[in-house]
This record gives sequence, structure tokens and C-alpha cells, in this order.
Amino acid sequence: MTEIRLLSSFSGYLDEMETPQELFRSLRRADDFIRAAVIAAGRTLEVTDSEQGREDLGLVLATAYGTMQTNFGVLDQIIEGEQTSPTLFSHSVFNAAAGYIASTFNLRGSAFTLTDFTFPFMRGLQEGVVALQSGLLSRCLVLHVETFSDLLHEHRRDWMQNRTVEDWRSGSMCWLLEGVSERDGKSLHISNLEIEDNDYSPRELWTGGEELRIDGRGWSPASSGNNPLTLGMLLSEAAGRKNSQQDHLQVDVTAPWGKAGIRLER
Amino acid sequence: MYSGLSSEQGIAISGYGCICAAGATAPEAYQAVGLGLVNTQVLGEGYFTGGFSAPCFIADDSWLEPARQLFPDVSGNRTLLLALIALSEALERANLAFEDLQGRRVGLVLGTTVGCTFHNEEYYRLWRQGNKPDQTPVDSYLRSNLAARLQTLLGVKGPRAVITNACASGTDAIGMAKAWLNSGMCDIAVCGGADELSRIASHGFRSLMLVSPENCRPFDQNRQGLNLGEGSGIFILERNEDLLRRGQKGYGWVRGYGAAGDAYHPTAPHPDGRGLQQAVRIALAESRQQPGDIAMINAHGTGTPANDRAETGAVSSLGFNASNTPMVSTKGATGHTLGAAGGVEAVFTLLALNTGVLHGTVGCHEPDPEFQYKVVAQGKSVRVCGTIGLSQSLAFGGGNSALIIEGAGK
Repeated sequence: MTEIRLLSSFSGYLDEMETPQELFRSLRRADDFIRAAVIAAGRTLEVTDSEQGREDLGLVLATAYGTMQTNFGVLDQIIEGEQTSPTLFSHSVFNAAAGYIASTFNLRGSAFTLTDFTFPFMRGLQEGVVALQSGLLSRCLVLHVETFSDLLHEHRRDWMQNRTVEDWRSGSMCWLLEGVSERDGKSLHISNLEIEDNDYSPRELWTGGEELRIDGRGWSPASSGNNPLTLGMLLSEAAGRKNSQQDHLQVDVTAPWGKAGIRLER
Repeated sequence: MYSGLSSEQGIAISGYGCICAAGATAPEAYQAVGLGLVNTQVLGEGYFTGGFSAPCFIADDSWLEPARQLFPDVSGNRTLLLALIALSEALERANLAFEDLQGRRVGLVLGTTVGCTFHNEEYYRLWRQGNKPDQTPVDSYLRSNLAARLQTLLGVKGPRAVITNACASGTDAIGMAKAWLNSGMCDIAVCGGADELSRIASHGFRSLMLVSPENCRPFDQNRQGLNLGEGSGIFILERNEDLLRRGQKGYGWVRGYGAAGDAYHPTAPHPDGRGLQQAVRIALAESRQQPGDIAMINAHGTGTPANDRAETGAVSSLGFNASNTPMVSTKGATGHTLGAAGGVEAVFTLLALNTGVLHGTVGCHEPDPEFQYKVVAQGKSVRVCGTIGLSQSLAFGGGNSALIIEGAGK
């Protein structure tokens, strides 16, 4: 039985992210989605010693809305009768960010981009675990990236007309997981991960609330306004600050579209 | 976390279905490949711009009618309709009805590209002009996730995933379904891919100079690029022992899956097919096969100069022998169906193995003499000497994936 060890993690909002100098060149033409993804992957990989042995290091990139704004950029050019920019188009493809990460950091393992409006980070973790347990990979980056779009923000404001609403912030998070034969007693390991889906109405996605619990205690995501990044951000922060005295971390979320839970243990 | 259940007897293909411009069902489409039929519509001004026109492979709209009648709520979602038609055929072959799946642990993993985007042009055009158009398209978009929608329509419980790995999505979906079944996450898996024709993708591929203005000619020395298409290819997978327990026999097995990255370029494959070679090695190792055991290869074979060169080079480097392991592309009869391609081509691979006939590459009249691996040209069907085949996919972003499929001769 393969144990899944959390080696390192990073989470951040795009407006607070600085592009490291070593990534300037590879990101010179990148859009926000790719930038958020590559920076998160780079920060997470800082713990690894070198670029050697990356044949079986792969990634799972999860997203709810993907490259929506870039996709609209291509559509703008089509509507205006302009020539489509090949760079813009190639960046609008949902797995462009995964390709950038792979080529920037020389990751030669499998790369999956997953798209789901609900629990994207949890689904990404789930598939990362499957890839490690099946032996397809020995280490796996799991990312969640969102950059949304002007159209999405405007409609969300319309639908939330009676409430104070801020636009969702763009951002990304990344975990580096490793398949190991036994726990080391120090690192956190994913011991359980469950997702249960319900049918939902479209507006519930933007207006319905998530109830989050950390180790059984309720946690209110202040002003997150249902941002799909919230769960992963919370989870990443909690995993990052967990001190060595505590032997586990349990995070549960309940929402109109289902519930999910993850347990990490040393 | 997971039961750790690993199927002793392998992962069986209990059903398969396919729809594309070549036909409304898998046998119809495969027959069209054999006959070398090319069902394209030349789309020009109004679709492309600047006087450009190109053939596109579009499924006959009347073929979607059964899905529209059965699921009127989704009649505006063409990608989903394509998936439902292929799924209906696959379930029928598996001796399962839609109702039989209700409440069961059915995993849904589908590849797509267009199917995950907001691409309602009329709505977007009005919105960017500052209008407040009717919001139905936004509602539809938020309900468009293929796996989530199918989960609701079928009333099933189990894992779900939409894989957006560009042109390798369908192949990766089948590989992921296999892993789910082996890990005990579900008891039945619906997997493959679906994609509708899209103006955004068409313009994008054209901007990359990859669209052929004529019918595409995979592996031909005069190839000019790809033609875009649409369709869906679906497998129903079950653990073999579970299938036997319900008194059924499978049409074959998914024996191996591999995936690996080029880590080379955003849109072009590595010239030596570095990632493809690694993906095939992984799939062969998982299936415990050697290149000499493989009876045929269904190539990605888009008809673009770079893809066809990288793919033939990779296959040659892996030690395959063209006289023992004939290779074809079926995209000359289907077009490049993007996220569906891996699913459609896995179905064709199974049919080639089970019928024992591999149809030559539609559109390939003079195989490029520079290639290290000679493909079977149009009109030169060959006998498949063996039961195990390889279906491979390459994608934007440097993704490569491979499936080893065994036919049951059924």
C-alpha cells in the first residue's frame, strides 16, 4: 500500500505574487493563468534538490473556469475579423499551463488538467493520489488555478445584486505529493479523501455558501464570497502551519453541490 | 483510503460506442473508414475569415435526435448530445440500460476541449457590446461539465472527472478509468471523449498553420495539415470478474496505459517523440508486452508535418517493425475530433482487433518516403495477426498517452 506524503505546498493570490527572476524568460508571453500556475509550481518545487530524476514527476492541474479570459480574447479577435494570434490561442487551451510547467521545470511524467466547477482542488488531489498509488508517478504536483473573467465577474455581481460582493481574486495553490512505502512520523500524509456530489442549480455555484470545518471547528471564510479557491487556500494554510505536536488535520466542507473531506496524518 | 482492490483478470471492455462524421455508430464509422469514405463539408466565409476555407467533419444532426428526445434538457449542448449517443450505443452493447446504472458506483471520466468552455458567440457578442442578453447561455455553461451532467442524468454515484488534456484527453480518460476500477473507486466506468466542432478551435489551429485547405492526408508526403471534426467515442469498463459475474463477456480488455510529457514546446511535439516513446514504454510494461507482441497501431496521425514525423520516428525507435505491426491513422475519415479523438480511436482499435482487418489510412496515397516507419496507405487493408493493439495520442502542451488494448475476437 502506497502512503501519500505531502512534501511541500504553496498558495497565493495573483495580485500578491511576484515573478521570480529565473522565471522571467519562460513567462514573458504568458497570460495570468499560466503565470499563476508556473509560479505556484516553482515555489513548491523549491524543496527539491535538482532537476535530475524528473521522469516520473508529473502533475494534476485542476480548475473550475480555466482559461476563460484568454478564450474570450480569441473570440474577440474572431468577432472583430482580426487574425487570430497563435500565441493567444495556444494559451487558451486548458492544458497550456500544464505544458508550461512541464517544460519550465523539465517534468517528464504524466500531466492531467481536470475541469470541474465543484471541489476542483479536492478532485485534483484525488487524481494525484490515484496516479501515485497506481505507480504511474512517484511524485506529483497538484495545482488549483483560477483567473476567472470579466464576464463571469459581471454576472456574479448581477446575481448577487442584493448583497455586497467583491470580485473573486485570482490565485493558485500547489502541493507536491510523493508516494512512499511507509510514513515517516514527521510529514503529513493523506490518509483519507472523500467527495460526494449533489446536483446543483447554476446560481447556487455563485450564491450558495460553503460551510468549512477544520478539525471539527467551524471556520468562516471572511469575504471569500464563495471563491472556488477558498477551500484549497484554507487547506494549504492549515497544512503549512500545522505544528509537530498535532498528529492530524481534518478539513470538511459542505455545500449545496455536495460535501468533501480530507484527513492528513503524520 | 481506497480499497486497494486490483483486478486479477484485468479491466474488460463491456461496451463501446462511437459517433462521428463517418457514422452514427461504431460499426458504421469503422465501415466508412474501410470504404475510404470522406464525409466533409467545406466551410468558408462565415466560419473562417479572410477567404480561407477548409473541409470539416461534422456529424449528421439527425443522428443526435434520439438523445434530444431522451434528454430534452440538454438539447442545446452538442458535445453532451454526441456523448449521449455514443454512451447509448455502448450501454446497449454492455446489456445495460440507463436505468440499470441508477444509484450505482459508476465512475465518469471524459475528455473534451470545447465542451468545457463558454463558447456561445451570439451571447458574448451582445455582452461585449454592453447589452444584457438573456442569461440562459450562462446557466447552460455552468451546467455543461460533461461528467457532472452525466452523473445527474444517469443518477449515479462515484468519482467523476473531465480531462482537458487537449488532443490526448480521450485516451487519458480511458487510462484514468482503468486506474479507478483497479483501485476500487467504482464498479463500472464510463470513459472516452466528446467534442463538438468549434470556431475558436478552427481559427486557432488555422493561426498555427495546421489546418489543411483540402482533405487531410495523414502520413502522406503531400500532407498539408489536419481537418477539424467532432464526435464521441465511449468505452464501458468493468473489472473482468464483475462482468463474468453478471453473465457477460467483454469485447476486449484495456491491458495497459501510459502517459508522459515531452517537456519541450507549448504546441509542437518533441522531434523524436520523446514523451510518446516513454508513454508507450509505460503502457507496454503495464501490460507486460513487448513491441513484437503488438499486432497493430492506431496512430494519432493528424496529417501535420511535425506530428507525423515525430510519431513515425518514435514508433521506429521503440523497436516496432512495420511488417509485423502495421500502423494507420483514421483521421482521414473522421477529422481531428480533439478531446474525442482518443475515445474514437480506442474504439477503432478494438474493432480492428476484433474484425481482424486493419483499414489503410484514408487520404494517404503516397506515404512520406522520409519516414522511418511505413504506414498502411489508403485501399491497402491488411490482416491483423494478433489480438493486442496500441492506440496513441499526442497533445498540445507536450502530453502523450498510449493504450494497450486486447480484443476478444467478438
